[in-house]
Amino acid sequence: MRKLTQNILSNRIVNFKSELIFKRSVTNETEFYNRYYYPPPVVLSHPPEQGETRIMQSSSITTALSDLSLLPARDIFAVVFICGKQHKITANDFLLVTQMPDIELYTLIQLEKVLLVGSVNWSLVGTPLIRRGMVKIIASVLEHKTMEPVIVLKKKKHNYKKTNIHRGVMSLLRIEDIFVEGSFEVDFKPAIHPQDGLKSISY
Amino acid sequence: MSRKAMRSGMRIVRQMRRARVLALAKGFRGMAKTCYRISIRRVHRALRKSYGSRKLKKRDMRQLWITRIGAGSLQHGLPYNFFMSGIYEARIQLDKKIMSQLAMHEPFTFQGIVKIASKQFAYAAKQWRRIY
Repeated sequence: MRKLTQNILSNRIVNFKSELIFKRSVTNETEFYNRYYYPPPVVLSHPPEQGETRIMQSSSITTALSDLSLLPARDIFAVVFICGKQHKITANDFLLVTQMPDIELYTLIQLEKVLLVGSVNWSLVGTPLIRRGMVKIIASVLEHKTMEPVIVLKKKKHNYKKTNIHRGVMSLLRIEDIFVEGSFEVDFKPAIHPQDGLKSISY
Repeated sequence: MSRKAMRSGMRIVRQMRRARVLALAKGFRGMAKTCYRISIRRVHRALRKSYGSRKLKKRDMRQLWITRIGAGSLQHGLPYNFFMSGIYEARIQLDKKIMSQLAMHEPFTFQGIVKIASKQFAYAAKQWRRIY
């Protein structure tokens, strides 16, 4: 089970149907998405409450951005997979992410690996990801900056000492908008269908 | 260089080296924040402890997330172990950090995820004839 989670976190998708772990032999991304079947995402509807206040989490901000005003968060939130980590985001949200130096500053980015989208009345749960065209999350890259230095000191008796100063580089993203397109059916069927034998799943 | 100039030059270098250590000793008790010979020991200890706690922090946060997820799923009728087995079999790969945030701040979505897990678990339990 530990190997499964490691593979999941290291940006590999697991197809429970036929193979447990696949080898990345496909270079083209469209081929990759077409080859491995994603079961349809699950739509859940839940009724709203009167006077419900939504508590939106916002990530930390490194610099004082006086130009960009902090607008109130909107209704839709999403869970996104970036650089090996998952983040819960809304519109007008700042996000600190491990470095993406290839991307130039002040460009728009579309975040494609979406795991969950939700709102007041409904939520869309991906198994494990939502299909590519369904959700559009647009972000802009604002900064590539070095973080506060971390001093790593290793010391023992008898004249052994090592010091290292670690200055990580992170990039700041601002999420502009989240769009959801398409029509969905509200239903959930269990993943293990009677057609598939239970022998195909081996933990 | 004359002897007098060398001594004053070395004094500045010494002061700078010690000031860098004393800057890390802010908030320490007594002379450990002002006197170099006392503070160097405390500073080294503090840095070694921080090295270890950076690794402990990850373990502690994961423990916290798990307790929060277990509490949230128990409110909706499923204990943590059945919830996680249902989640894995339903191919949902949300990590524990996100699930704890949903349990706290997005109750309706979390309720829906618990429903998915309970349906999946009930289906699997029928197949395997688990007794629970």
